[in-house]
Amino acid sequence: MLAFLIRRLLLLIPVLLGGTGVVFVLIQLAPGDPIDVLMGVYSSPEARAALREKYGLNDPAHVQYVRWLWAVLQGDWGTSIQQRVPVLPLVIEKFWITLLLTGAAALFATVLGVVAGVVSAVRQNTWIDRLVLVVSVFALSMPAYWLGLLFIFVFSVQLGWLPTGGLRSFIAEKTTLDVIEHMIMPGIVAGLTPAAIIARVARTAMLEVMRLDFMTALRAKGLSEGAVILRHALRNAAPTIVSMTGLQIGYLILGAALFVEIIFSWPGLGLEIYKSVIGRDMPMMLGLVLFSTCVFVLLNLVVDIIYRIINPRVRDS
Amino acid sequence: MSTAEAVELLRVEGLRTHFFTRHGVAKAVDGVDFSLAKGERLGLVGESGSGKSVTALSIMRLVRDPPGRIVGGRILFEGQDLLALDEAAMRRLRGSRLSMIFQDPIAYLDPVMRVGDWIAETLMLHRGLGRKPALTEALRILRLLKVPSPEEVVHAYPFQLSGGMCQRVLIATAIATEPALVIADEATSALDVTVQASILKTLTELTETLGTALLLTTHNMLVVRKACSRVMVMYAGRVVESCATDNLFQAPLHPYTIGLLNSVPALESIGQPLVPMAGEPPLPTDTLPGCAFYARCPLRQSRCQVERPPLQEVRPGRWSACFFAEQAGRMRHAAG
Repeated sequence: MLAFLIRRLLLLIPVLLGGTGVVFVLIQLAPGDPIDVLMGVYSSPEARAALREKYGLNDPAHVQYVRWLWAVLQGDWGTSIQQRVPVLPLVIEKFWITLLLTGAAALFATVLGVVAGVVSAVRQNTWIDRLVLVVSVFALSMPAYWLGLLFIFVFSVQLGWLPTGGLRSFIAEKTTLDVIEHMIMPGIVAGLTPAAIIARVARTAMLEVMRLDFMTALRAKGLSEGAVILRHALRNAAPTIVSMTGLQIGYLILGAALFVEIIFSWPGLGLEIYKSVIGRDMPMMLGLVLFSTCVFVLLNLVVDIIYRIINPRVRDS
Repeated sequence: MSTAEAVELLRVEGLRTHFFTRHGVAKAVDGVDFSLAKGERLGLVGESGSGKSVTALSIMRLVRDPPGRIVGGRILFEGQDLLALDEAAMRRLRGSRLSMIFQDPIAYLDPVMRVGDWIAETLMLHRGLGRKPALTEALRILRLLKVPSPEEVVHAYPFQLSGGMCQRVLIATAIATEPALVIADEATSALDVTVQASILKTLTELTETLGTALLLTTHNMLVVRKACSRVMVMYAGRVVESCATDNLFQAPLHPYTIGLLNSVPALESIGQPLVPMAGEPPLPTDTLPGCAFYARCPLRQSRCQVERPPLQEVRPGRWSACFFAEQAGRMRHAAG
């Protein structure tokens, strides 16, 4: 187990170098720079040159990258050019806000996905199995940015049940309930696609287990159908479901959150990435990419560890 | 069929289990009658597809529906008709009064459950024990089965154990609640010959000590000879011969049994060539008006093709479903 951990952590290094490197190159290729965004086109060329010099933007790209890397290794993540605050505390603050949303979405996706998957496996080829299939295909083919707008239109604009976006209301007291109200729609929109994927995987994994011989042996022991399915079949299907769920949660944090946060103005990592790209805010962008890549890789590591714990055939060999 | 003074435990009457498939109705079991006394060991012999396993599963009411369904008959176990019970009542009997062991022991254990917990699960369910006492009891039963280092075995997963060891675990589970009947469906067929012998010995000794009846299905005549006092031969979903095991080996009274005996090696026929049976059994979806063995039978007459021979007591304690049972008896002698 220890060797496995060390190997996986060492693998983090090339992944992080690659991720930040690609972002760096892409930004260099994009037109415009943070100074244009910051000062506008009508500022004097001298002032802009001075500011460029100050942020080291005149140096060759590879020098800038190595300088950034060296600073990060010493714990200095730089300062946001746009917001003029240190990058790391800001990223961490945004991370917690994103985690709140993705946590809710992941919980929603996992519970809904596993329940739907198990039910449609147990009731294979019945109307409920088909219903789950239809809903899954719908959820999979609906992009989050479209579904989000639809939700806002129906539930906020037409029905007025839920706020259109943001983390909390401006006027209301800062209550937990207020935050939860703001979480419902983005949580569902972000969680629907992962729920559909988890449901499909859970169904397949359950069917795979349910056709095995030991199911007959369990019934011969006098176990009820519920115990056979939940205590044994689901337990056997768990490793497959857990690895897919872990992947989906990673996808939620990095992928779905981006669209959903922009649509529902959820002030998390996704919205911050969007703002830093628009503002060509290199230190902020690199910090965000570095941080979320770390989170993604560590999350996968945790999933792999759980997989090994619940699957004795991998653990003990 | 059983001796009059023995207490009857199980009586199967006119059991018919059919499978409804795309290619038609497969009459896997089509009118099987037999009874089993308390503590008796009965062998159910036949080729694959003869209906012996389906008979076993029917008694447990574990035939998968769809495609299979018990379409007729009665299964009287300890006086009550199992086919009339609701599912909850049947569940209370499974694993407690009647239990089952299977052909491929590793495949019949939960791959991610420690075998100690597997045995304990039955005890927790039917005896209402807590997990700790159930595990202690599981350990005691494994010791009873003379399993080497049982303290380690209870903590192992099935994939860490040999096939023979897994079968001992399944046997331990089956007898944990001291049931009245254990059904062993091809329980030794997937094991090495040496392991087979020791599993068979364990099974017979245990059922003897506990007074448990055993219904053993197998395609292996020698297994029956070692373990069972009485034997039934099945062919195409029906019983074709039934008698005491010794009688069957000395003087079979059905041409199919003779063919079966000629095709297995035995000590008394050393030096004689084995005679494989010609032809194939009929498809289970075929509907034949006459004897199912007609196409392969060396004694067949035109009558056999149109009229089905019933299972009759042709000699005291000897039942055969052949119009020419006496000729069949002489045929074996001629061959031997």
